[in-house]
Parts: sequence; structure tokens; C-alpha cells
Amino acid sequence: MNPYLPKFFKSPKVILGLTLIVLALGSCTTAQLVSDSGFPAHQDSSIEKICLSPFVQNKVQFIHSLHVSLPGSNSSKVLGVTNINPENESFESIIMSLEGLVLFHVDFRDGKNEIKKSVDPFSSKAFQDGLIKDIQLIFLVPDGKLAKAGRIGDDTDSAACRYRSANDNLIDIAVLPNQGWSIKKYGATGKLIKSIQAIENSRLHGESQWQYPNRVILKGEGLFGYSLTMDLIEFNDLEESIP
Amino acid sequence: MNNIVRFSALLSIMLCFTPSVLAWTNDWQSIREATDGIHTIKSEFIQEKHLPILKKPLVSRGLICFHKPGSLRWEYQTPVSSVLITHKGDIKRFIKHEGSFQEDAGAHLEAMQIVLEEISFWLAGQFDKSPGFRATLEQAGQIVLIPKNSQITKFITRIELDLADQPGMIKTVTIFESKTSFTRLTFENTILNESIPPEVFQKP
Repeated sequence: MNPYLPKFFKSPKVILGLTLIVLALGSCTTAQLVSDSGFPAHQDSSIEKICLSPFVQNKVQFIHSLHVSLPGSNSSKVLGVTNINPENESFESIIMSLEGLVLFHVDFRDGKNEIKKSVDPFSSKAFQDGLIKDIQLIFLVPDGKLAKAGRIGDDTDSAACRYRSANDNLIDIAVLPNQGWSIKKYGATGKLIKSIQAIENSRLHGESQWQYPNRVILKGEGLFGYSLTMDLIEFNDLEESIP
Repeated sequence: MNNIVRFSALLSIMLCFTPSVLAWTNDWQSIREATDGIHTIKSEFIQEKHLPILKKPLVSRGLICFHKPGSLRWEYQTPVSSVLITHKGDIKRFIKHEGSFQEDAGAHLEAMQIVLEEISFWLAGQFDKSPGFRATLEQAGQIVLIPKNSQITKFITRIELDLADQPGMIKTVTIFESKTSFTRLTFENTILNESIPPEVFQKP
């Protein structure tokens, strides 16, 4: 008999923690409503370029620590490795324990995902779909059409853009130079689904001087609301190493 | 002449001493005997994570404290501060966030429980008594552990332990998840039988 099996299932804390992570990352319940008031009205073709500056522009690799805060003061930390190719919007991502054991591995290309490894509860479809959407929202230029764009206040280097997707989701992007950026995603009913805030935007990466923040916080709204704090450990340019 | 005498004496000492040092890795009995006198271990470690997806290995550093029979503190200092403690059969992970340690909600601890229990066996020299792995002494100084059941092979397919020249010590541990994905731990600055306060095995 396997001596470890009883230990797997005897810990309610383990089961609770795993279940909450999966429920939270798979959650789409919404609470806050989108607002048009205060959104910059004036249009300028150069503004969109600023709005898209937070997104990955070359083939790159991120290594983050991922701190997940869940309802009831539960929290957990894992490591995430994400390789992104913005040209074809493909990515490969691994989640591993702090000790380095791989818990989840997905390869996403041509609109399809191939799960190369998943350990329960990371094998749940809700978790996988949630993770893929989060990676796309954080790193890749939003799909859909630019609906609105403008400056924020009097700052000529600032920008705010609204994208509307085919299924009527809205994505708002706000960029304030030297202060980071934020992204908000609203559902078709106008309720806030997810928000992302770049806290520190001071680290320069690569020869292109493209900046990526040291810390990004993603919040999922709703009944199973959660917060994901991503602290950058390492950044690698993959332009030459990936064909 | 004096130098020749001194050199001969030194050579004699080395020839007498070396076989006994190396002999500790020859069979299970010798390994057990070499570790019998060890009650505590403190060591620094460097961990390299190798994955095909990584441009270069991810390097972590930390400290390990062990007190016979089964108290173990596995602490990462960089790049992410965390402490894994197994004590009296219980395992807990504490993660540092915003300057303070908090207990991890519990995900994915079961795999590490297996690893830590194994490490406790190894540090006690009981490589052949593991309930989860079949151990073979393949060549002098190397022990290979193969999982006995599929629950473990989900995480680990093979472990290689390279024993140090110093009796009772492990030089490197390589944990294979697959042929191309593995974690290598190298131990250094090891101190044996130094007193370890009980609070080391409690919440940091």
C-alpha cells in the first residue's frame, strides 16, 4: 500500500487551499460596473502607441514569483516561467513550487493549448482557461477594436484607450509615464471582471529600453475574488534563441 | 634527508587514511555506520533548476538544518524567501510576503512532504529503508533512488545522490522530473553535530 496516500487526503487545509485557488482563478463572477464618465474624449493616432507600450514587444521570458491571496486570509506562493512570442500571440508557461517541482505546463499556440503537465488541482479546466486568459490580458495586445482613446489630464505622455472585443468585453488601458500602467477588463454587461496594476515601472530591460514593471498586481473580482502579486525575478530576451 | 622522511611519513599517513575515508561509500552497512555519530547537520545549498523552457538554469540559495530523527528546516533565501519545516511528522511552508512570514495555504505540499521525508532518511544514512523509493548503490559514491509507485512518479522519476568524501555527508542531490527537467542541489559549508535550538523548527 502506498504510505503517502493517507497523508494526501487527511489535510483539510491542503484541500481547502487547492480548491480555493482553482475556484478563484476560474471565477468570472463580476461586481463593479464600467463607467464612461471621465474617459478622455479626444482622439489622437499617436495615443494608441503609448497605450500598447505595457505589452510584450519581442520574444521574451519572464520568471515571476506569484503570490496568490484568497478570501479568508489564505495565501500561497509559486514560481511562474512564461515565454511569450507576440508575433503569433503564442506562449509557453510553467508553474512550479518554490522548491522547483513543476505543477503545471501549458503550450499555447494557434489559439489552442496543449497541456504538457498538470497536477491536481491545476488540471481543472476552469483553472487552465483562467490562467490562459490572465496571461493574454497581462502580456499581449488586446484583441478587438479601439473604441476610444485620449490623454489623461494635461500630461502629453499619458494615454488611455478602450478596446471592445467581438463579444463586447471592454478593456481599458491607462498609461502614466514614470507611474506605471493599469488595465481593466469589463464583461459585456459592463461589470468589472479583472484589473491589473503595474506598481513599479523602473527596471529597464534589453537594448530596446523597453520597460517591464518589477511588480504587477492582478485582481479578480466577484464572489471568489482573488489577488495575484507578480514579482519579477528574471527577464530574458529570447529574440535570438527561439526560431 | 629530513624532507624525505617527512614526505614518506606523510605519504604513509595518506595511504592509510584514504581507503578508510573512501570505504564509507562501499556498502549500506558502511554508510549507516558513518552516519551513526551524526546528530545534527547545518549546511548551505545552491539549487539549480534545469528546464527546457528556461534560457539558463534558475539558481536559488538557502540553508538546511537537520536534527535526528526527523526535524528538518529547508530555507530558501533567494530569489524568494520561504521556509519549509517538517517536525514531528507535520509539514508546513512559510512564505515571506511584504516583510513577514505567513503560512502557505497548503497547495502542492504533498510532493514536498515526500521529498523531505526522503531527505530525513538520507541524512540518517537509511537510504535503503525508504518506503517510497528503491535504492541502489550503483557505483562507489553514488546512490540512485527510483520511485516505487505512480503517485511519486507524477513528480519525480529518479533521484541521484552523490556522497561526499567526508563520511556521512552528501555532496549533491539531483531530482529528475523527466530526462530534461531536473533540480540539482549542491551542499557546501556543512557543519556537523552543532547544537540547533528547537525554535529553528518552528514558525519563523
